[in-house]
Amino acid sequence: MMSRILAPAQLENLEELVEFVSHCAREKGFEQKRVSEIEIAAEEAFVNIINYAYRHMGSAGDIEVQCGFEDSERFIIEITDSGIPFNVLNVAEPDISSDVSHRKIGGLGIFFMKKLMDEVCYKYIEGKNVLTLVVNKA
Amino acid sequence: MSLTTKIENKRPGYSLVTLSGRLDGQTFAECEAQIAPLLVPSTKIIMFDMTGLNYISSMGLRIVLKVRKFVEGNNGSFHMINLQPQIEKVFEIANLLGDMKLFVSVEEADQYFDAMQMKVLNNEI
Repeated sequence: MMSRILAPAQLENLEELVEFVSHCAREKGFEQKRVSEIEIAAEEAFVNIINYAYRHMGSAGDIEVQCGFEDSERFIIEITDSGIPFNVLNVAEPDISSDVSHRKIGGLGIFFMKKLMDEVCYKYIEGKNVLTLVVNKA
Repeated sequence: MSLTTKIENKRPGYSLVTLSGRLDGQTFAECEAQIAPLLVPSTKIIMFDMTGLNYISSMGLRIVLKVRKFVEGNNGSFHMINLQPQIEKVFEIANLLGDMKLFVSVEEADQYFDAMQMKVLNNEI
């Protein structure tokens, strides 16, 4: 059984969206440490959509989130927006080997998402970006 | 869910920033604005007390990185104390802990800076 939330892609809704995901993960039995990591990954996805997905349009569209166990082993967070097509899997990894003085300030969000989740999938279907974060059952 | 940013001038050129709560995509802007006045040439040491910080995302990490780049670029030093495990993990993923001196308490840091200052005064550095 999947839980679902729909909210305009605006910064003021970030807290509600993240809280929805963490509540769902907690309810499904993930320990607090893993819940925090799930929150970070989800937040990175939401912030990207809020900042970029609808920038080419006059008004912001929505973010739809569905969470739950896909089967007995995989907890999924499916995040859908109808903004500009954007495949996070094509984004180059930031250079984290250079010393701090040469580091770029941004670009870590998608990297965190990939590192913290067991799997990240992307599809573009019927004019929508569908990003799926997968967390294996502990 | 919110963030409290407390800034304390410990001694000339040395500021302690105490963060409590969540440093995320929603709270980072106000935090950044509060910290901005510290990014001046006279600032030589900035210490972040992370004891009460229980969540950080990439937007939060940007602030820490920005402050660190400024201070180190200004020939100063940047430090953090008491990172909770989930916070430390985020810094580790970003490979930002390796060469940083971490203290367990403000007291330990104070002793270290006192010793540093003595060395500077005695022309040992």
